[in-house]
Amino acid sequence: MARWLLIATIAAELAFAQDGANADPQKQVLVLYSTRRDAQIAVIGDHELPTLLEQRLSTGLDYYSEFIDQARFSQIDYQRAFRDFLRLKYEGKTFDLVIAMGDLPYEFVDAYRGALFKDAPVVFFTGRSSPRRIANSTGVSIELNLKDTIELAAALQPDLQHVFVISGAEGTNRAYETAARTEFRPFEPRLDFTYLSGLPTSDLEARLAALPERSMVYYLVVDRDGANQNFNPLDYVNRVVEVSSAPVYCWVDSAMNRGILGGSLKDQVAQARTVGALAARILNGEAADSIPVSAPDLNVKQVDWRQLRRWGISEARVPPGVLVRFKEPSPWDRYKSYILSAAALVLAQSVLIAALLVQRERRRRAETRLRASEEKLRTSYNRIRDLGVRLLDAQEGERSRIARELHDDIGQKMAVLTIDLQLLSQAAGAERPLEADRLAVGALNRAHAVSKSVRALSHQLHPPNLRLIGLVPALSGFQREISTDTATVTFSHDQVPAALPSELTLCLFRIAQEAVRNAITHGGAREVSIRLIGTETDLTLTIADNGAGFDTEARHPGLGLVSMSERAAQIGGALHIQSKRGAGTQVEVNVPLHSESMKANSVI
Amino acid sequence: MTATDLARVLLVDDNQEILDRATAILSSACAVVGAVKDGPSALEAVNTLRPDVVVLDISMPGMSGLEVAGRLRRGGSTVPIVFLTVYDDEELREAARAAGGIGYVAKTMLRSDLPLAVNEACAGRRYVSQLR
Repeated sequence: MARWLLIATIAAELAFAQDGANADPQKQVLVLYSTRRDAQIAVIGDHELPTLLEQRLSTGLDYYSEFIDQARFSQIDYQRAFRDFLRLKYEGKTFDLVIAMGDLPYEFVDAYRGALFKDAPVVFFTGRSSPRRIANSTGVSIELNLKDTIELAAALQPDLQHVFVISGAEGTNRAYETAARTEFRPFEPRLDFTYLSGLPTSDLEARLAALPERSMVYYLVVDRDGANQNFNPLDYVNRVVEVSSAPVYCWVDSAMNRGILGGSLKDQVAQARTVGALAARILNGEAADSIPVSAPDLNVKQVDWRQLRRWGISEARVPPGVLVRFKEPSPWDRYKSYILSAAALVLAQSVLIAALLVQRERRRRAETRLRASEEKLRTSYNRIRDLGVRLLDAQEGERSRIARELHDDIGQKMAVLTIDLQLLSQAAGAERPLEADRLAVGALNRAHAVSKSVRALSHQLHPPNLRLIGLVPALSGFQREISTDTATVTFSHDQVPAALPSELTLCLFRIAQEAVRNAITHGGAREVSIRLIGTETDLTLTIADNGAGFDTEARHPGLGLVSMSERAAQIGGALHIQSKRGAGTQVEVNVPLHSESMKANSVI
Repeated sequence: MTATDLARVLLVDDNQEILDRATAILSSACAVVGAVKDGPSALEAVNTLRPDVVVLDISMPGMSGLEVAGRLRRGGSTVPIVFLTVYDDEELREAARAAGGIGYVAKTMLRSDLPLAVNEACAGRRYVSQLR
């Protein structure tokens, strides 16, 4: 059983392999071109035809192409020799299809079909309007259309007068010229036509370089020039556009993108594909004769946007339906999104930068303020430290003065008093009344003296009656005490409120005391006046002297001045010192009187 | 002058020793009816004890003697006031007089001057210590 199955499987596989080899032979296709191998029709055909056939055929493709190159080989026996060459070359090969690209190959196939291609069907491409059909053939007829290009040129160049038509010296080239002359006749005499046919290239270039105004150039085809030089007709376009002083037009689209302005141009790719489509149908089994000859219009009116600009032709002149190719988008079209993004970015950055600048400015100002306030603080700190040191010194000096006073004066007196009291005690114990009396009187006197000294010292330290009797009496007393023969101190007052805050009283008294002492001690003043003048709202204390004066701009004011200033500030007043060397000094304190605080701290 | 006729004196001083001395010094000549140590007590004692003379220290903490005198006068009291002071100067003497004091005694002169000043005050006469 298993053995039978194996045999059946192998048999099936063999049958499949054999079947595939027989049912799928490659299609043998030969294409004959009239042109040289590198002519545009051949280049495009050899690219498009096999591609299209490969796509549409279920079988494989064996593709051949041959080039009669009629333009360069025009000997009488050439075609026969070419026939022999092909016969030898393809001996034993049976073509499934022959494609004749052009009238010459079509005639060639017709002439040598029996010898070369036996019964192969034929697909032809012809420029004739009503071609003759040979047996087992079909084709595409695309008539040459040269006049539509002239119409387009006339639309683009409304003042067009001169048309210069270029063609080569070769026989087929002359056929194009003949066709052109026929087609262009209806445009005369509106346009005048000049046929630059079969000129040597140098002559042609000279002519093209010096064209009159309102001209156009129409390039037909140049395979060979008047100097018997052969050219690739398409490459020749480049020479023409390079030297031409007028826009160059053409009739075939391969010339586009080589510097021509445009024209009603035959689409050569479409032409090849049309031919290829027919070929595929026949290879896929259709009978060639059953397919009618097609005559599609493959011309496309088109212009090169860059050439419009080059020749200064407005795009508005381009008639509707005409394709504008190679249009370079404007920077705006091309980079719209980039430009908008960049603009947005720049804007955002600008805003950011502005914000940063504003912030920086603010910070700079804040820093400046901070530095200024730091500087002020430092100055203030230094002043306070300096003041602190000087206050400590002053305090120490005052303490030592008080200590000296207590020791030298009061201490001594108390010692003597103690001794006297001891003696008195002894005398009383010994019942010596006379001596006791004498000692008692002495002790009493000494006690009075001690009391007086203590009172004087206390008075110096703090005027005890200031609190008790008020500012005006205290200043009167001070004026009386400090006045001497060498320094006369006067005191006057007017409208001073009876009740003043104790703090204000003490401050003003101290300022007066300090100012008068400075005037006498440091200024050597002989006359000092103290004035205390009140109004409803404030109180002004003025101490003026005729002493030596001093420099008010001194960097380190004396402790006295500082203390006066601080005391004035303490009671909300302002201290003004006017002084010049040799011109006396005037110290003025003005303090506001607040009824509230006066009531709160009033004396008496 | 009988015992009942003795002048009734109120002593006001924040210093206990001065109060003791003054009491001793005045004991033979007057009847010390009260001894207080601050201004508010003095004002109350004047109201309750109705003394003939008030001996009043000028310098006391809080309410000073001058203030006590001012309040008494403003309150309608006409009681003679003899001020005591350890300080002595013209302005204080003037202030004491202005406050309604009839006598002015320096504390160092207490022994000799206080009885005199109290007596003079009872008689409506002024007495001021003459300092040495």
